[in-house]
Amino acid sequence: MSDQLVIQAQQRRSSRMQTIYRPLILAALALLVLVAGRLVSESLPSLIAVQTVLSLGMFLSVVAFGQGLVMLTGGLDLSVPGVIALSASIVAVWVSFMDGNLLVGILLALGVSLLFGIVNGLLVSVLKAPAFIVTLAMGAVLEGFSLFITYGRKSPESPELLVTLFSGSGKLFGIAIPALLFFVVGIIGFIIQARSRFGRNAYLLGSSLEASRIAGQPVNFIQISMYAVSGFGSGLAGLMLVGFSGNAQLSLGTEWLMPSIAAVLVGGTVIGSGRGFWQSTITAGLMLTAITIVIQSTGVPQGWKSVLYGVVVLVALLSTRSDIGRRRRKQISQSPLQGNPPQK
Amino acid sequence: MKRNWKVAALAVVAAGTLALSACGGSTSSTADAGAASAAATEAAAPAATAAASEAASDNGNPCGWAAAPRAGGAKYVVYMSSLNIGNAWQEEAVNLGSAEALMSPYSDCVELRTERTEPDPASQISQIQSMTAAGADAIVTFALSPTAINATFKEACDAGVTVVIYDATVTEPCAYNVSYITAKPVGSDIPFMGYNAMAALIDMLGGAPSDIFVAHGVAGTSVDNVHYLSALAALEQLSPESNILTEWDGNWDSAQQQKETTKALASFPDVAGIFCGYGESGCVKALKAAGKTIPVTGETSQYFREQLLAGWPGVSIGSPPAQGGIAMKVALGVLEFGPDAGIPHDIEVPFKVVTKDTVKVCEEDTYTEGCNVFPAGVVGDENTADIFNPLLPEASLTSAKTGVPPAGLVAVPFTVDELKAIEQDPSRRYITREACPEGWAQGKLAEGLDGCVQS
Repeated sequence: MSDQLVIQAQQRRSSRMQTIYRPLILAALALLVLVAGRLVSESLPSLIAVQTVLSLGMFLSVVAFGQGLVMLTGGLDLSVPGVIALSASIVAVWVSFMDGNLLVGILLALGVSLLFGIVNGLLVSVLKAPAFIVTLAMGAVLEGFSLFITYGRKSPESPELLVTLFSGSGKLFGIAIPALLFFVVGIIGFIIQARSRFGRNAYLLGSSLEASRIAGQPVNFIQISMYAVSGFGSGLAGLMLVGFSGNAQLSLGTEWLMPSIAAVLVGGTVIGSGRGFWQSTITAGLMLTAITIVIQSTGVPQGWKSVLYGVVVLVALLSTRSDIGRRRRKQISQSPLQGNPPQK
Repeated sequence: MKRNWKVAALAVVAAGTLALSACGGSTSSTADAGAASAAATEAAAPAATAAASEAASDNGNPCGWAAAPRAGGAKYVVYMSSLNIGNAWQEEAVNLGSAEALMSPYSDCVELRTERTEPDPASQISQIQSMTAAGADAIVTFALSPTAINATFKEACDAGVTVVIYDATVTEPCAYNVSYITAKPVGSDIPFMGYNAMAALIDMLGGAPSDIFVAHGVAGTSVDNVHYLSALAALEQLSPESNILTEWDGNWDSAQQQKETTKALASFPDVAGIFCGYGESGCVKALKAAGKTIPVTGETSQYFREQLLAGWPGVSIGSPPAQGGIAMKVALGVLEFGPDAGIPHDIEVPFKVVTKDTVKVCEEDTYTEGCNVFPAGVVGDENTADIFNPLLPEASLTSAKTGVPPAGLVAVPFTVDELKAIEQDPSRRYITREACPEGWAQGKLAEGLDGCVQS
């Protein structure tokens, strides 16, 4: 147990930067980006823009939550678009074709997402298969399933309730509901990742598999549960995105995979290091969203937009890495693509 | 771009999985087609059968058509193929083409085989080669690239296969292009969808200089290029003072169009109109969420036309899936009359311009003149009523949904003269073939694109 305590103490000392200052800096940067947007649009910055950043940032956060936990423990979840498509298809087909109860449909979609998350976790932790390959293949399988259950039919429509909640048409106190939900997602994520035993297990496993094992942790179980949570989060995002778009489509999740990984990394999480903080991930998500909005508004050809966005993410990442490099005492001992910390 | 990366990665990593799901897909469609054959044979009008057998006595070929089947069977082997991308448009196009071959009088002469193509040129090349090897008399397909599959199409042509491409065009001269890309919409004297859509948008904005968004489809494709350049030309010619605030690639995907529109609206809430490519329901949904009702040009989705019906200021203009059925009739026409009968290789399919003033609800399953949207709830948001076309009056919703024509429905074959009448104007040949016909030289068209001028 003493190993665990030492590691936690070290983390506490070195991570004030990450737990408090970094998220504040990232949030300030997000605002700054919108202000700088003045250069491309006279309407920036505006409350509408802030609301849009929060709304899109909310979807991103939901995907990034599980992704962050998986990356914390040295893996990567590339099955996100597949899970999103499948979850969206299940709830839409269940409600609009089979006249099923919405609540049952939601539980079904989340249950299936959770199940495939667990399968990902089993393959990675028990069979020691590389996370990159396992989840990529799983994503393809799930997209196939989604195609299968919607095949040859009209593209299934989203239940009304989900549309009202997530399309931005529903408002509370005059603010779009997804923008408000950003804060709810933020708080719930914080409680789970930073204040629960589940979250602490993830950090411990991420910082040292050996320590985790010596401390008597059920290592495989924890690793599986990370993928399960990621599957569940993607499933939840699928329900939200089917509401946002109004109908289930295969491509619903493709636009969210890369931003989710970028948000986690720019937020300061180092793959497989047990270092990284939820509040930084979601504020990094906000900053990246604000950047895409401003880049999109420049009206330069798509190729240049991609170049610009790529460069921004790279710069953000490099600044993160050098910062961490100074403070870290532990070398990363495994490649991010191997999925598992080396076994002794 | 992301898509390409993914497709490549999937091909490597999950080839087995994809193969499995693809097999599932084709198995079911083959079964459908089999059942359909039986149904259609039962339904075949006795008169047509009589006519067919009478004609057969002329030269000994099935139905008395120009040449004997390549594989030597009792029927002509005809392949109908579309992209396997879970897209409502592709489904409708391939189903309409399949239904055509299952209708009298064709059902007695043709053995239909329906296939799906995975969306990468290598798959399509091997698929076309297998079809040729399997004795195809005609292949009707959507082409993934205007040039990459040319050599394979040429091989097929040389083997005696009639190759007909619908919607997207190919530059291989032996293949028949059946496309709306360079056509004039019904009721317009000006060709090109992009030009007409932009002109309509300017019209809806009262002709005043305005700030607009422009949403592309998949950048770099020939179709998108033609739409985009002709739209820019219209803007330049009709409203030079107008300003494009920003533009983006929507990748013909409504989810992406919605996300991009949402972002653009955050920066430019005072935009006056949107030129939106396929996936326009995404543009409208984003506008609705932002509480803005402004003119939008879009393609042909049921969702968009329902919005027009409810009074949304917009113009709906786009690629008709009827092209699948029309292309099938062209292929069967070539088999019937022979390759030397003078059927043009470049055929233009007319398409519709629909506004809130001309939007009209169809009777559920039949073609009524001028109808362009289904009643609410009959089809999905992304389906389109442009399965109906003046060149395909025998289309039905049942055919488009299932690939099987309703009992008793009879095909309306083209005559050679009818096909000659819809030949593409030579001035627009360069756009689809990258070459000009004899007596013409490359030059600039009035609509801003490279074309051909009489030399």
